[in-house]
Amino acid sequence: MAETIDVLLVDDSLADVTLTLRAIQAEEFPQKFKVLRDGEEALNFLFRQGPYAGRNLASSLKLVILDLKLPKVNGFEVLKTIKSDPEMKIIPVVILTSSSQESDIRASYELGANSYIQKPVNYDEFRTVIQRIREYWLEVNHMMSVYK
Amino acid sequence: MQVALVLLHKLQQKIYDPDLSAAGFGSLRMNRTDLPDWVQGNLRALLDAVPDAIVVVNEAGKIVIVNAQVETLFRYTRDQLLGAPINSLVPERYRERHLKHREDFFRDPHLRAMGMGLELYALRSDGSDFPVEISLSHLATGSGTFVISIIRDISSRRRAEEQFRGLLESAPDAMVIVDQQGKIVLVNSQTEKLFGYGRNELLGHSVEVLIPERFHHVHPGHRAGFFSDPRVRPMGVGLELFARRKDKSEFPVEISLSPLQTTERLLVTAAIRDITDRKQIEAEIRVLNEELQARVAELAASNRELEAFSYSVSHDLRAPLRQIDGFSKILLEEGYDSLSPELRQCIQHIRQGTLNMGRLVDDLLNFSRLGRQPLQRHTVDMHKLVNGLIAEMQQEVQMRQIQWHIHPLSTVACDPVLVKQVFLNLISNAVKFTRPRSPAVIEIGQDCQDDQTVFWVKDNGVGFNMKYSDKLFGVFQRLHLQDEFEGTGVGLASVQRIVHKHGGQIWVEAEVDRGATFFFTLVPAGDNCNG
Repeated sequence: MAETIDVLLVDDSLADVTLTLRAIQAEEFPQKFKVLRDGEEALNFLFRQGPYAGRNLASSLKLVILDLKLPKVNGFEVLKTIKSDPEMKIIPVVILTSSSQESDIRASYELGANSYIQKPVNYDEFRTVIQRIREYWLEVNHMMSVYK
Repeated sequence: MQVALVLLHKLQQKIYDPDLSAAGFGSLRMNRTDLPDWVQGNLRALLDAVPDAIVVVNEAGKIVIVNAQVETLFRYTRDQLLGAPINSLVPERYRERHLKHREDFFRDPHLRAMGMGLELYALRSDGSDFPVEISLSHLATGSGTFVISIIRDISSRRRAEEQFRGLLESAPDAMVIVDQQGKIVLVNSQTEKLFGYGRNELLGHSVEVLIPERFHHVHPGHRAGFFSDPRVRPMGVGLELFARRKDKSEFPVEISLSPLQTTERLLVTAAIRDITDRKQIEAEIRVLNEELQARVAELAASNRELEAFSYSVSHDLRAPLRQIDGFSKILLEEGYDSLSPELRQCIQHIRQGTLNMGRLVDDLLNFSRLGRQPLQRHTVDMHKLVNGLIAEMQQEVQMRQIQWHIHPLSTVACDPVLVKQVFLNLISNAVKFTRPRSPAVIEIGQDCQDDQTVFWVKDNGVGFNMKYSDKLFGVFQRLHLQDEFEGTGVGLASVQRIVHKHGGQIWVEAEVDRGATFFFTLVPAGDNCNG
């Protein structure tokens, strides 16, 4: 059966993932989310390797939301790998992280991130930001299929 | 002097009557017709006009001719002198020596300076003596040989020489005067002390004795260089100079040279200073500097660590903060109906706690970042800056009744980002602590105090007791309760840090219930108020 995954969310913090999903579900949004907790899993999934080899994907992946601080393979590595792959590089990657350090922002854009968002501390603001991400990247933005 | 001698020689030819012992010049008997008229009439006047004293003495040592200068110099009248023994003009202590000189001269008379190398003195009628220079000539006539001595009073020259010598002696440095051939002409006692020689061991010797051997071959070249362009200057600029003592030990020196022109020749005066102490101090300073550099580097590293630490700590605190805020919000929203008012209140306290913590984290992050940035001074129009700030704050204060009095503020060189923060903090505080007032009055201006521009922010708020004023700027120090007036206690610490970074000062005047005025400067003292 083909999995229709619209958004890949990569974040190691269960609490943050819960908050994020709640923020998005709060508006009852139809997209399907896949949540992965470390960088290695994310890459395996995207490139259909390891436990995900031979997975049958419907070509509907529209967005990767990526945290920077991840175990095993960190966010920068994942970003770099995606953006240096000739086919995978077209997929939009939004960095969603607590860090506001200039060096992190610079490195992200240099590696080809499409967007960099700092997670607000205040929950109301956080909610608004998540919804705006959803609105922009999944409704306004036009994305073509990655997988053939 | 030459003229007089020529005249006297001419006289010699004309004198027939050698009996001069009884008469002064006036009764010189001679065949007047053999003398040219002008000489006859003016000879005496001419001799009297000569500035030096002229004394003519016969073989018996008696004075036969004197000119007017002799009278003045020795304070005798002509009559007292003519026929008197020449000895009466010589101080007693030299008479024996003088006799011997006279005998020598008569044996071998020729024009010369008398007593080469000797200090000569002459005796006045009142018993006082004075230093003189004497040149001698002889006059051979039919009736014997006469000695003509030309005497010059050199008291003033001697005084000048004494002064010069005195100057040389009193100089704190070793003074060595050298001629073009490199021979030492004069030294002072400081030279003797410094080099360990007696002056007689040095005079007349080559100056190279005072120089370490390895420099002997270059030194004459340097000397020649100096004489080709003689002017006051330090010697061997950029070179390390060394001198050598009698015991062959060496020491570092600094030497300045100046040309000395005498009547006869060009000399060079070298002022030599022993800089052993200075070199030592310089070496010590170098060591201290290195240590200081090391310490500064350590301190900088330590500061960086501290800032990195506080940065990462505050940074990492954000994620849990967000989570607490988020889940407490969800609880409150979705569980509202199933929660009792007390429990809702509990959740509110949780949320308020995270809010405070969030502010603290932000302030701390800000505070730690302050140390890292270097100060960048630009020309800042303070008036514009303050007005801009207040405009930005309008939304916050729209519910309030605030009277703003902004006095003219000048343009100052400072870091615009940091100073904006200073004003932001101070004005926010003023806004906060005037909350109980209606209307709140906030005034901003500047004064010129002690040549310095002092900015101030004044409010009519709740103020505080001045006895706590030194706590005011401490990190986390607060003077009010959190629920009366919120705050992290970091704001003023940041302000102080910024002001100190600029080299300025910050202080406050306040009274409980009357408000507070914060004063600050942005440059070290003495900027001479502009604007």
